[in-house]
Amino acid sequence: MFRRLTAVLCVAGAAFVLWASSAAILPWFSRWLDVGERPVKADYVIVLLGDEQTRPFVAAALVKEGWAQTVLLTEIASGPHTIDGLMPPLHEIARDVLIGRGVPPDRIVVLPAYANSTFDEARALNKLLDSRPNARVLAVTSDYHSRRSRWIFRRVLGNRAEQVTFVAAPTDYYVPDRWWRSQWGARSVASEYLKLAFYLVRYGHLVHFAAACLLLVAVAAMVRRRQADRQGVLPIENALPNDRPTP
Amino acid sequence: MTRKRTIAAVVGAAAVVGAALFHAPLLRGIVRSLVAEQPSSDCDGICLISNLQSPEGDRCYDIAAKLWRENPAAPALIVEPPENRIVAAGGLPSFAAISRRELSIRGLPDNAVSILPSDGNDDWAIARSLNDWLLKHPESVAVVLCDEFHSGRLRAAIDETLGSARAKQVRIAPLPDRRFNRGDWWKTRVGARTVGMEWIMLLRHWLCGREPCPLPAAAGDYEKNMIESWGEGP
Repeated sequence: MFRRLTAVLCVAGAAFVLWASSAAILPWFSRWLDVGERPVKADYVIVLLGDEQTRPFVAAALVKEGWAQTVLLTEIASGPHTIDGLMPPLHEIARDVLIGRGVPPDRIVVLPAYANSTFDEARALNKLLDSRPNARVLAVTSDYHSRRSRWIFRRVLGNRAEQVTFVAAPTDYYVPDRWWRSQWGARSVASEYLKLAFYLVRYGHLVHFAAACLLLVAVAAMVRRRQADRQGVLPIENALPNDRPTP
Repeated sequence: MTRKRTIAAVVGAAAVVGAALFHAPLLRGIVRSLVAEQPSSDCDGICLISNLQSPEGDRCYDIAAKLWRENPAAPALIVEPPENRIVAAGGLPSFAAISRRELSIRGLPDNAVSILPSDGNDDWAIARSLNDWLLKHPESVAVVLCDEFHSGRLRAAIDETLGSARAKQVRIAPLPDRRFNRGDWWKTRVGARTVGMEWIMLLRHWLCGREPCPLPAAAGDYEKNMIESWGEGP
């Protein structure tokens, strides 16, 4: 009884400490996702599609300031709103925004890809780099999306990923250090962690999967040992010879 | 010890068999809190909402036109968020312009469409816009067309903002996504992902409540801030 009470108090104490320090801990979750760097002089800037409210504007600023010469967009697969004729495809929206912000149309190239994911965009860039192997590229994406994008580009491009510098576009509608207070921040950060976990399991190296399995086995063994200790007996297979009744 | 293990194994097996047999009602139960649904007939206004330019609710214009044909005295109310950078840069028409166009295609005359200006981009801003409309039409009832799994959260924001008496004048009509609904969401990846995210959002709503949503900077200021953060040019 005393042990159970102690355990409940410990859990409650830990929960209280976590709650009290959440304002110090939670910002770290959004900061960790952002791996954006200062831009370098490059040949191309590729705008990863999504968040048209921010990413094309950063690309436009990069071109206008002379960091890159040409903007790359990837042709995107149609979503329900495009199929219904409510909105043009995302790459066309991004193109119109770039032109609206002063990027000359002849400096915008749409890569044929019919992309559905960041993987498809990385593959489209890989194809371009086949013909321009020394090109330097800036990849613009949202701050919370930059870590996963960098991971995907490294997976697809291999050594060529060294030629790509990620530039983060700050996201609207929430303050990154208080992301959990806004519905947009919570959606962006939480979904990004879920996607990262999914990508690591689905597309990650075998070593990630093996490490996760080992961790699970270790936790299970610890729990089992703890249960045996609590009952004051050795695990059953070791205990059997001494427990046999004497005739 | 052996007996305990046997009991644990039997209970475990029973749980697995039970979950296999009754997985559909169990999974439907999981999304019950995410969905709010009230009757959409006999309303005095049909409200269309937008989040970041994406019209909420699959085929919302078809449903809005159908409701209007049933009761032509009820106008379509378009909750228009503040102009964003994409609209300002010419990347897209505004939500109001898209909605007017789509409703006109479906037979609604211009005078059957009203714009409710909104001061933000979250559920509470939608609730405030509806509150303003209800202050001018105190006896009216509005029905809001909304994504099925977003409807529970929107209901909570409306109840918090309008108070119990006026909140009763707002009904929610949840519109299922064409790819999944509350009866089969677990069969598609996009359905499972949506339900997972909506649960996280609902929990956040319960735990944290709301914080004013900062409005985005104008395009020029946004670019200027970026350029300053990069320091010296190339």
